Amino acid sequence: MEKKIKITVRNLSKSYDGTPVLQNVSFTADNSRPLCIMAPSGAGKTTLVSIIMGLEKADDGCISGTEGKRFSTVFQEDRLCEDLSAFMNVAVADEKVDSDVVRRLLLKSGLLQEDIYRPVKELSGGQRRRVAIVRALASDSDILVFDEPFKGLDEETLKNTVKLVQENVKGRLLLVITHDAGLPGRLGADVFSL
Amino acid sequence: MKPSITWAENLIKKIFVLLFWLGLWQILALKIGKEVLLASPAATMQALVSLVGESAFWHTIAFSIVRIAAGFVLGITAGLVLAALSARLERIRMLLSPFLYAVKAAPVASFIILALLWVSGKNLSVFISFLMAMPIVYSNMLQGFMNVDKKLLEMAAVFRMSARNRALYIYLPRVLPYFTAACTTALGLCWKSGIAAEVIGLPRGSIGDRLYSTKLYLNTPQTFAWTLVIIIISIAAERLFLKILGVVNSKISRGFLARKGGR
Repeated sequence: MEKKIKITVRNLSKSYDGTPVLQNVSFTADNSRPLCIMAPSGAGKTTLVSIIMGLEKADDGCISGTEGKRFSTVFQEDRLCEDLSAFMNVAVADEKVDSDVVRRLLLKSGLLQEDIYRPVKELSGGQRRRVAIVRALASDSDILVFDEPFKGLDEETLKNTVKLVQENVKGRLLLVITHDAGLPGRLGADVFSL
Repeated sequence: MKPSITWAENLIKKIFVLLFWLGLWQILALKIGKEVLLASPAATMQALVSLVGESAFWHTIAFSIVRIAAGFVLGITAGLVLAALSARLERIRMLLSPFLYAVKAAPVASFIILALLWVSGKNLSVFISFLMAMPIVYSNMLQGFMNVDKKLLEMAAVFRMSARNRALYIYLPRVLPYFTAACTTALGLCWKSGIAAEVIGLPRGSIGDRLYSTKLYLNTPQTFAWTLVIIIISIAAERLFLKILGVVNSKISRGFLARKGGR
C-alpha cells in the first residue's frame, strides 16, 4: 500500500517591492490524483512553486505536509548543465539512480540512443524539455513539481510524454503548473485556479 | 596534408622572427662594441654554456624554483579558499577588500623590504610569490564564483545534489576559465617578483644571488645568460602548468563519466 502524501497551503501571500504577487492562496493536494494549478501568465504560479519547494519564503500563510519530503521538479526553464549529456544530466541530479533506469526513461521519452550521450546544448528545445522531465521522474522524491512541463512539445511528443509521466509518477504527489486548459484532462488531474 | 604544411609554415615564420631579433641584437652589440654594456648573443650563449656546465647551476635553479613554487601554491590555495568564503559571506568580502587592495596597489619593492624584517632572506621569495599570487587568484575566483548560474544552484538545491557533483558539474565548468587565467598571470608575476626578492634579499645559492654577483663583477654576458634562464623557466613553467590543468580537468570529468556509464 502506498503511503499518503498530502500538502496543505493556507492563506499564502507574497509581495515584491509592495506589489502583491500572491494573495491568500489556499489549496490541498495529495498523491491520489495530480493537481493542476491553472492561472494566466504573471499570476504568480512560479512564485507559488518556489515557495512550496522552499526556494523562497512567503510573507504570510503556511504550508504543511512538506516537512522532510524530497522534491524533484521541472522548472519553467530547462536548467540543464549544458556541457553534459542527457544521460549525465539525469545521473548527476541523483547519484543513487540506476544507470539502466536513466537510459530506459530517456529512450522512452523519445530520445534516440545517440542523443542520450550528446551534450544537451546540441539538442533541440523539445528534446531538452524531455531530459528535464526525465530528470525529475528518475530522481528519488516524494513530490513532483512541474512548471509548464510540456511547453514546446508537438502533439505526438506531448502524448508520449504525458504517458511517460503517468507511468512514472509511482505514488508520488504531482503538482503541475500550467495555463493549458486541456492538460488536466490529459493527466486526469484535479484543477485549482489561482 | 594541409595541417602539417601550416605547422611547417608557422615554424619557419617563428624562426624568421627569432633570427630577426638575434640579428638586431648582434648588430647593436657590434655597434656599441662594449661587452660590459651590451653582451652579444654569442657571448651570452658562451656564458650560458659555461653556466650549464657548473654543478651549482642546477642547485641554484632548484633552490629558486622550489621556493617560488611553494609561495605560488600557497597563494593559489589561500586565494581559492578566501574567494569561496567571500562568495558566500559578504562580511568576509568586505573585511578582505582593503587588505587585498593594499597588496595589489603597493609596489613589490616595499613588500620585499618589509618582508626582510619578518622572514629570513632564504624564504623571502616564498613570502613574496605568495603575496603576488593570492590577490590575483582571489579576485578572479571570486568573480568566477559570483558568476555561477544561480538557477542551476537552485536546481541542485531542490534535487539535493551531492556537494561533489555540484563542485564538478556546476562550479568547475564556470570557474575553471577564471582559475586558468588567474594562475597564468600569477605564475609569471610570482617568478619575476620572486627573483626580484632574491636580488634584494640575496639568499645564498639562489638565482637572484647569482644575478647580483654578475652585476658586482660587471659580468654582463652572465647577466644576460641568467636572464635568459629566467625567461626560459618562466615560459616552461607556464606551459607545464596549463598542461597539468588540462590533464586534471579531463581526468575529473572522464573518470566520473566512465564510472557512471555515461560514455
